[in-house]
Amino acid sequence: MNPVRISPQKAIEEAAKFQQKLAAGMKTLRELGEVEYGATEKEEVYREDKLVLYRFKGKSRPTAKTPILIAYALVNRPYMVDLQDDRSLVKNLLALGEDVYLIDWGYPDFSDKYLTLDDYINGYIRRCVEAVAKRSKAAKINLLGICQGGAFSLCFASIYPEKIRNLITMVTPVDFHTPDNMLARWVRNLDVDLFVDTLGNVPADLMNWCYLMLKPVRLNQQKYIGLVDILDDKAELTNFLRMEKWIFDSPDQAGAAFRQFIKDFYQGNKLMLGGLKIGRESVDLRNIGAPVLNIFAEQDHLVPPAASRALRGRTGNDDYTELAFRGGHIGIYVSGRAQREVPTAIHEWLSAR
Amino acid sequence: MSDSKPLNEWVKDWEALQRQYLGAWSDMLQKMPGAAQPAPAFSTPFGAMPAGMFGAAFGAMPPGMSGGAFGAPPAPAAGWPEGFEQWSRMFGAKGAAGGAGDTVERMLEGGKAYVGMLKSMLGGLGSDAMGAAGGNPAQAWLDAMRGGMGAMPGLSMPGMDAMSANPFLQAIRDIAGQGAKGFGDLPSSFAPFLEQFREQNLSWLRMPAFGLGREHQEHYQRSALAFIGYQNALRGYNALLLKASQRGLELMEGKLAEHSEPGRTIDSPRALYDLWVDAAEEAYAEIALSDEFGKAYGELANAQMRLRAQIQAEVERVGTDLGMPTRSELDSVHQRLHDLRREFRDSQRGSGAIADLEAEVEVLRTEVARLNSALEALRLDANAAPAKDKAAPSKAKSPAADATVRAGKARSKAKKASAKRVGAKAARAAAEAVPAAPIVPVDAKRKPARAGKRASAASARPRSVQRKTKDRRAQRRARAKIALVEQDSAPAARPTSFGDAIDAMRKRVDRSTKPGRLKSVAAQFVGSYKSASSRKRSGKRRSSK
Repeated sequence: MNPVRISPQKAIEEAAKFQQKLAAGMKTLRELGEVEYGATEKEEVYREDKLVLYRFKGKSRPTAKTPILIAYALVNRPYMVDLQDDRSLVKNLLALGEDVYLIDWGYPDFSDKYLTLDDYINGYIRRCVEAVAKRSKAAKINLLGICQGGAFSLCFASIYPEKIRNLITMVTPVDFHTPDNMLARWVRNLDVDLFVDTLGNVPADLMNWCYLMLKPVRLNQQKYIGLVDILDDKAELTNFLRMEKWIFDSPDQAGAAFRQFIKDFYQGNKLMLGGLKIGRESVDLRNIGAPVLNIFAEQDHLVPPAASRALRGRTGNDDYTELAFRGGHIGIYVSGRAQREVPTAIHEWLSAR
Repeated sequence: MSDSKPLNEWVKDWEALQRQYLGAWSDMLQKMPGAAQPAPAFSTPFGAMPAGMFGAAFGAMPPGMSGGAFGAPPAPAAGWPEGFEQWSRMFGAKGAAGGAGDTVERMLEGGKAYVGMLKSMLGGLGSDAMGAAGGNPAQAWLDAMRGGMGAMPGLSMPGMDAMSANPFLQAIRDIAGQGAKGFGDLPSSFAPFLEQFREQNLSWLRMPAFGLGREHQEHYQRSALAFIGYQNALRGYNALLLKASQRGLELMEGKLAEHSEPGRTIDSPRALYDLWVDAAEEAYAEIALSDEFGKAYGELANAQMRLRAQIQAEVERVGTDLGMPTRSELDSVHQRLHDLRREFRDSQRGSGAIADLEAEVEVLRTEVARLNSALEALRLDANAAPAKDKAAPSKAKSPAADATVRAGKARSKAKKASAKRVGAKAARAAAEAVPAAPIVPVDAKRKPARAGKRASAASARPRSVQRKTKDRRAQRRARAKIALVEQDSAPAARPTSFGDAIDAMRKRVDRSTKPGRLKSVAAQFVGSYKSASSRKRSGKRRSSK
């Protein structure tokens, strides 16, 4: 039997409907103002160079004694964790009584091209952790690292185990050489010294191009065709545009830090295999004495689940918990299910420790 | 398509409807005057269009667009994708408010590609092709795409110009079209530099250079070679994209076959498109995860960087000639700045250690205060039993022996402490600092052993040198004497009670500023306190006997 049974009338109707939605949607698009993001009030508690450390303010005082510091990746902006009122990991954690801080790395420029991972981990993160600990009068704090920020958090918790009470990693790569890691395969033959020496900082556009090339048709074409379906829904359209802004609102990457991250993590897989040094400090996952909650997304095309799962059995504490989330790398923060499952899981896990 | 209709009829219907649709579209656009007056509401085959929308759209059109663009709408035969071009001109990046311009552009690009593909799938094929494909338009489209790719000069072009009909490659090219600069694209600012490379004859590239301009010539040769290398790498990369595209068509065929069963047939263009996307992505992932692709990707990135570096060097040379600050100069300044910052941070971390020590000393001070109280209590006890206390000194060791024991204990305690923070240096300092220990200058200790050697060496020296040596020796002796006097005077200042000793220690701690000094004082305190406590305990034990 012929697998395609499309009548000309139906084809024309569908195409016409498409155009019609497009026409109506254009009106909606013109009426939309600048999309806003960030749902929760926050205060600046520490600032250094382009970095700002924020503390979020909930509707009531936090009941948790140990604060959570969120260390996001350098490759995107951290407001993903507090994107909008009904899609906010931060807001939900606050509602559960947690005390939440966030590192905003800012936008590096050419004057930052010599910032190394040593500067980021032994410098910025350490000082932020100390600032949070001092402010909350806690000897140790909870660290929540996301994606690349999760890899940094693992390094930090290994170097400074005395500063971390609990460690939470979200969509964090540990084994960079799993067979399904497309990005890792692409950069394996990259001459990263030539790359960074030439570019200085790695431009955000180039990074985004690499991400789009992971699924070129789906991310660059099909998604926008799907957009036409929601053009007549102002709220949905606003959500889409907010997400779109986040995706392409990417900072450039400080050259020296990028160089080491690609060499040691992507190419050398040293977080997994050992031999990683951040500045003068050696990183050994077995030094991590804190309990670990490792959350990963089952349909993650950027950090395959196997890359995250590799953390099991590698830390120095048997208290290790995994949470497999049904969704993708971004859905883990913004999907409806994520709002219900992730903050609650984090809160309950922390409360039990 | 409907099975009940002959293929030719289907195609005719499709073309007729398409003409009707596009005709209505053209009419609509022609009725939209370039002038800004609001257009009345009107009907199209696909429903009523809001009047205000078009008025607003035209009001916001870029200058020069209004008459020309709409005065010559695409002919119906031009097809739907061209309609998107007009949408783009009306509502694209410049027209859309609220930062949605890029999104609109992407959406229109996607829409254009989508309907373009559907058009070619469903209506762009002649009846011959349809017949050859067994009446399946998608199969006919697949065959046409595959045939077209086979004929494409895919390996002779660096870009993808010849592949514009391929929707997969078009999707990839659209990424670059939207401003993202990937490895397949070079910044437009490079164009003047690249143009000269294109015009060059390759034969001169390997020729040796001579004379004053040899460096420049070699630079240009390297640049041209880098450009050629980049083109080759791009060709290799695109060949793999083409392979992914072909593989996508194969997978699409398989997926279509899965829909042959009754109840699973595809009855909407959108479903057909989604199926193609699944096949294309699956095929791409297969290729993109291969080692071959990884190598091509790496080579493309590296080749582009080599070319960029050459062009940057040229820009830098021109900048220097013009007296402009260059990237290298700024880099150098930034690097020095970062190095200085790191040094500063290191020293701050050092001062953090001092703060730790100060905190430790503070704890010790508190402990001392507590011990003072305890000692006072002990003293009172001792006064209450004088006879027993008097017996104890007769059994006590001589001061020198006692000092030796204390020094030894201090050493051993300090060594234990070094496992935590205090090092061997602190242990030595603690041993040397025991108040009762006789301190002998280092020179004095070594003197007998060295005297003979020095005498013989001195006799061989000239008289003036001998005098100077003698003077220096005298100065050293004088210093040693002063030190000895100070040490000798130390017993006079020796504390009469342990509390006094603690006070003296505290004063010394207060005077100390350097971390090493603090360490030594802390270790000294610990040593002397513990030996004093142990003496006291042993005294008490003796007295209790």
